[in-house]
Amino acid sequence: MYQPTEFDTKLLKERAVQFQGQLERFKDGRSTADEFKPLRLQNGLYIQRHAPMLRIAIAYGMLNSAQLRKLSLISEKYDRGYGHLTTRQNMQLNWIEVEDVPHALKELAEVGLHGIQSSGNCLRNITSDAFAGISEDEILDPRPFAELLRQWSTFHPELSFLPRKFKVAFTGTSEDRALIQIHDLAFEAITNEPEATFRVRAGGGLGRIPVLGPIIRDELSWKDIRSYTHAIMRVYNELGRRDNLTKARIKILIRTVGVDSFKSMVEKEFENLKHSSDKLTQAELIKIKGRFSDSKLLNKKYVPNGSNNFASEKCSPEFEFEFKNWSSNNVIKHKLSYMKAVLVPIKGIERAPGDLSSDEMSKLADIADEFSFGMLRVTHTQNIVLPMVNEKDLFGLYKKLKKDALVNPIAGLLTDMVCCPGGDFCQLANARSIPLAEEISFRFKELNALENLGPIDLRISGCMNSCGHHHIGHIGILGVDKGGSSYFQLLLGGHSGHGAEAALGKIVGKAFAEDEIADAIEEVLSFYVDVRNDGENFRETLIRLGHKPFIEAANLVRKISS
Amino acid sequence: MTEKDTDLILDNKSQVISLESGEHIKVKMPVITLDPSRTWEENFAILRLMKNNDHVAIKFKTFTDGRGYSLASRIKERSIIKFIHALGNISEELSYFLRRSGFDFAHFPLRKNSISTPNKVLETKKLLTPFSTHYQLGNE
Repeated sequence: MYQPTEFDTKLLKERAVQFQGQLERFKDGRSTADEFKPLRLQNGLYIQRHAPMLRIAIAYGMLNSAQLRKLSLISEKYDRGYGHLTTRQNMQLNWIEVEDVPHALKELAEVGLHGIQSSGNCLRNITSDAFAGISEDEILDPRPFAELLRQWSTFHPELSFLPRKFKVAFTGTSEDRALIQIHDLAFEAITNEPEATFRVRAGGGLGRIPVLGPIIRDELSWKDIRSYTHAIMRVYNELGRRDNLTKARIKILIRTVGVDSFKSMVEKEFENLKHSSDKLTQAELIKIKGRFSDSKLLNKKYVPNGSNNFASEKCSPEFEFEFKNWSSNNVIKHKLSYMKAVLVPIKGIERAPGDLSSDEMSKLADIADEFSFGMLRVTHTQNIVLPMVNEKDLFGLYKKLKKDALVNPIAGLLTDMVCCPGGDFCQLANARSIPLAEEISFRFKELNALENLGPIDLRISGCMNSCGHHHIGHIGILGVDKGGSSYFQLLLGGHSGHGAEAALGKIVGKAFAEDEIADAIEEVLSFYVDVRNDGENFRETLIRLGHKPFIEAANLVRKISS
Repeated sequence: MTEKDTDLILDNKSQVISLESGEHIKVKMPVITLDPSRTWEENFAILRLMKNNDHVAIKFKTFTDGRGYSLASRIKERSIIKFIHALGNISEELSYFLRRSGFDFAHFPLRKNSISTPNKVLETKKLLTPFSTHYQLGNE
């Protein structure tokens, strides 16, 4: 992962000092609440339902053990002993006091963490494939390019007061594990270095009006990533709507003016900026690459000592069976033949999806030091990845995770679901998504039953803002308000883009009551099991049969006839 | 702005701060004021009639409207006009962004408890340069 330079750390410390001054001037009545709002938001500080919330940016999901240890300390010292992993690879603290935020930011700065541009109408924290740099199918490692854009966009005056928030993603593979089609701007690698090029999409997004981002440039040289982004932002900044929040995202602008017209406006501005200081140089790229701590390891011809220690271990058949289940679900192929990536799902019966206790953070930091060269990643599905595990250490890692109660062999299965904080924390929410997630986790707690269902992507959002990405789940659930009561709309047939074309789910009739929705999910899944062909997964069965029979299955649970 | 916020404003007068030094200065109000809600082409049609040494103002309807920053950046990177003033609903807290995008002077509304009073020049200077260095070239 990127190792912050002294320059980076100094800037973060200065940012914390700046925020402390901003907060003091606001408290002294020298700036207004309206003036203070964008300042706190651009440091990740929200005022939520019960308390302020601090969103800490984790650049393209990369963490090291020192950073996770610091997050553990911060969440213990200033919060209630836990943090929440978000669908944009960040961490949120839900109970921090406003007065403590400058102190927390100062401490986070020591390890290269911050809340900069993790909220507000600006270019937000850049995300990427959680397996970037280590996946077998990679055209190139997108992280250095993401880092170059992250640095350039930090405190950029033209990117700080846009009509609305602006989310950027990078992927280095043709396989989409970075949700590129639902980002305001996305770069997909199409050719490798030295003349690396990217396909560019813009105007994707979920929310009230879900759109899969169209391609706006078939091929862009890596050297032009900043200048092209600058051109897009100028067009958006100038023409994006500022009179209506729900119509202010770039997707609406592109829809209004048309993709072709938007492309020509961007190209015209790009001509002006193409040869500006935004243009990237080989020297800049080399310098950034040199700051990635895993670059030597990933390029080193290394033959590990010893063999897989599982073969020499004595364990009970039951333990062996569990280890094999875990290996089959949670251990992922790696670019290096002797390495594996290991997924640690942060899900479970008594856990809100993505919630990590301070103690668990500390344990995971130790585990990363022992088994993954001190490296970790946060996925957009609210899990942790240990990206550099020597194959021979897998059994040792399994035993350690089991001892620390962090074994959960459900990767990619129904209960490895995505879920926003919902009405328990977020003041925008219409419904409580966490209790529903817990209910579904409880009903499907048996691994056999989950494995029988096969890969299912379940995503839950507490409101239209779609932080739980419900539109792109095979099964999506959306919290809605009806006459002051919470209901849940069911969507079927969405897809994230991983393994097949991205797709938006379709709403299945009227919303279900709070006491119906879990039953409706059960009926849909039970119907799927009854009608599937051999080897056919949920998504494939849904495509083969269409939505209608699934809707009928869900409707069986309605308690009040309409 | 809330009702309480508007109470903070003493009158319609403003104080002009040099975004280079942070000091209060006396300077003539530019004759031409640009509206950032107009397109670049419309504003450029006005700018092309001006001389390089002229002063031009850009008026912010709200301090969170980023169009003003882009307009100033475009003017400075093309070296059209040397001196740009920021007018309207602007805040000292954002003076860093004003300076970085190419504004030279800011006409901050004068309030009961203004941040940029003449006896607090050091504080104003800090607001102008909160960071020792930058990740991108600026237009200051």
